[in-house]
Amino acid sequence: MRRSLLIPFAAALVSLCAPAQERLGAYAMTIEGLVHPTAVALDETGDLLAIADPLAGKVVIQRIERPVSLEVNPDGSINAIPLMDPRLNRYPVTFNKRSPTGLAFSPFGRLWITDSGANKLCSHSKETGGIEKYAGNEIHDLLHQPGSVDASARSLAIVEPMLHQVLLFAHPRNEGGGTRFELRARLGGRGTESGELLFPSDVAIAKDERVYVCDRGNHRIQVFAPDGEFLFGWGDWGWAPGFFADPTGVETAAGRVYVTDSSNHRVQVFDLEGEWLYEWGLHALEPREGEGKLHYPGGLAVSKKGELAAVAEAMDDRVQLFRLGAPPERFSRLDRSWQDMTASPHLGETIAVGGGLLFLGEPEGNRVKPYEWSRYGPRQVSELGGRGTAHGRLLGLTGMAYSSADRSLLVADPGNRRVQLYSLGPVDAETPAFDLSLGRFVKGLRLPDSVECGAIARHGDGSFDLLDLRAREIRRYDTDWKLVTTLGAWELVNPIDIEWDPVGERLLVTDAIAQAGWENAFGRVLAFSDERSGPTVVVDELAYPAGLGVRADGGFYVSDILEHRVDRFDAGGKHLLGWGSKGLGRAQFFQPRDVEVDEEGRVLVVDHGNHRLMVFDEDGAFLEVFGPRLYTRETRLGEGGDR
Amino acid sequence: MRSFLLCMVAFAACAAPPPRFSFEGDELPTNDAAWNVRWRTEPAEIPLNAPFQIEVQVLPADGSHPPESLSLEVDAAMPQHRHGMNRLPRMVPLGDGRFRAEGMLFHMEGQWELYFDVTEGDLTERGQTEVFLE
Repeated sequence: MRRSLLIPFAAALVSLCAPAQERLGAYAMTIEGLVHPTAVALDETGDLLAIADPLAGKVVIQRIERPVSLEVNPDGSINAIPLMDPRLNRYPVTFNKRSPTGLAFSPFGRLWITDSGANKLCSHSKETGGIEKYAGNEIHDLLHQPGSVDASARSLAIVEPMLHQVLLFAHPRNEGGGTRFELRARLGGRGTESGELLFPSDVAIAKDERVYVCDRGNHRIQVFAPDGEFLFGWGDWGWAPGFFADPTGVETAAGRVYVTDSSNHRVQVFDLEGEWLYEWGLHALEPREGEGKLHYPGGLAVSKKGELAAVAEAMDDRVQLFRLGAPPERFSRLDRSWQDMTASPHLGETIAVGGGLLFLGEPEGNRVKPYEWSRYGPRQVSELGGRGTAHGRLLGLTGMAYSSADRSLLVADPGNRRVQLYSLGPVDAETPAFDLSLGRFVKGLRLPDSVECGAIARHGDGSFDLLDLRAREIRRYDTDWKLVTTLGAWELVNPIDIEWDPVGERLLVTDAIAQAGWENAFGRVLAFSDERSGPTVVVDELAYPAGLGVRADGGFYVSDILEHRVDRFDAGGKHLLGWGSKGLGRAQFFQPRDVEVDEEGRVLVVDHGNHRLMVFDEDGAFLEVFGPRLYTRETRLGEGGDR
Repeated sequence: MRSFLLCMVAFAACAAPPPRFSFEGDELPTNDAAWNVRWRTEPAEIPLNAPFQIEVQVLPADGSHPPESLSLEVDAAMPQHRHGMNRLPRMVPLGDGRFRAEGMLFHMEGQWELYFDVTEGDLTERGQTEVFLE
């Protein structure tokens, strides 16, 4: 063969083999013992790993020790073999912050931290070891509920999910004894057009200062110039390579863009222009399955040389590290289970119940699935919603409330910023048939631009309350769906769930953080009885209260994400009993969310981290479980955590 | 004289006839009964896989005149097949609560649902009916 042909052939062979060696994604190790890690950051050298654990109220910084083997080349030079199995030891920095949400090391070694609970920005320097809080600095007037953050030598970018923006600052500099933050541009604004954002989740500043934004609600990556001009973007909702389902983290390193594609359970890798290169990850199916398998990957950090990646998985309390190595498993399985109408549904954070019907929110498909469950196990009878912007369709689901009086379901639709009402036709409890025409869209209310909807609660007369996550207040609507008043402004910090108590004629609210800025903040349950006066504290000193279910006698149940338990209180807030610990057993949960009480007094708990619905009697005795086999097997067999 | 004129205006307003549908067609209430919707297709028999249009008139159920800000969207779907039409109809407002939906096309035989989404202010309410295309 002629040499001129051999050279390109050899080059092609090398190009096929070499990238495999350079690919990031080989599993290295798991960091456990975390509560709910949402964000990670690696410093410039890749030696320090910072982990934000907002439910624990902590940022932990760890040092990564990486043995470097040396090889002598034939010419006598020495190459350092990059990262092998990293070993970790604890760097002695742990500090308490409520709701740390974003982390980024600047090239100068400073760790920037955003705190969505206190709406603050602070930083940590390993030289001084202290926290700089910028008290009184005007930057805090610009922040609302800051999310992710990234820093380069010239810029600092902060994501504001509820404002649908990214704030781009010149890199802070010290002036006159203070720190000056110069706002250079606001990227985005709520919308679906190019350059607009919908609940952005992460930001990465590339070496050339272009800003890559993870546009989670629009399932895409968008790229902006340093002056804020929109340049280009890629991606849409789907499972094929280059498509995303709830992309959560973005990072640029070594000429590549890494994206955690949360609901597709993978990390996708692109070049800086958005050309797809490869992906890694395989959906974890067994509970807590890891060692390279991914389960809703969230925060992402990649070392600057592209040799080490850290992936936070809040749903599994862990951070996994990946390194360069053998080509990752190419999963051609093209997991579309979340789009498969017949697949076992993932359980969202909210449910509704009443009149022998059970409504499960299915987040990946943006659907509500009604089940008949009055006599036997839950049997699906129809489907509501589906992803879209047309009337009756949904973009997300933050709250549901059912009225058995008129067989109607009220749903909060955050992506479309509206409330929608559906009605259900009759269901034969003995032999329920699946019928896609059973439910119909009745009417919808478009919410003002400033509102981001959360939980919803209905009153007996058809009026309702809606939690506004952006203003952290409750909007009360009358029976004609006209806004009557707002409640709780300045009093709610991190409201999670609301529920109407018809006996006490009061609205109960779980607020996971009672006082912003308190070092040892705690959660509580508040009651709004009077539109003219403030709330009263019904229950205090809860760890992290989430779901709320009201009993017919005015008593109530509260789930606690941090303690993995459910507690029952009487109407006055006196603790009566509680049950639960972390696990898969009959009286165990993993980050439980919504709680509902049906007409027969049964207590339904969304065991969100275990993808299952648990049903108990009023005293917490286990009755039944509903969910994927792998997560319910242990409970059905009666193992673990029996009461 | 001025008070006489005001009385005449008031009388005229009281005596104004209730709004009426201006054409013959099928009629239905919206799903929360705030509106009545009358509709007819052109051609009268919906063709298979060919464009047709729908004339619609929306009247408030309380007998008042339709507000000028009223808007309407018409759509259709085959729920049992989990899909809708392959095209988006163009809405032409004709005044007094009347609209024409142009560019409708049912590309399949079977059970269709027709949707009339009436929007006034921030509230949208749906009227719907079933159409079987053979």
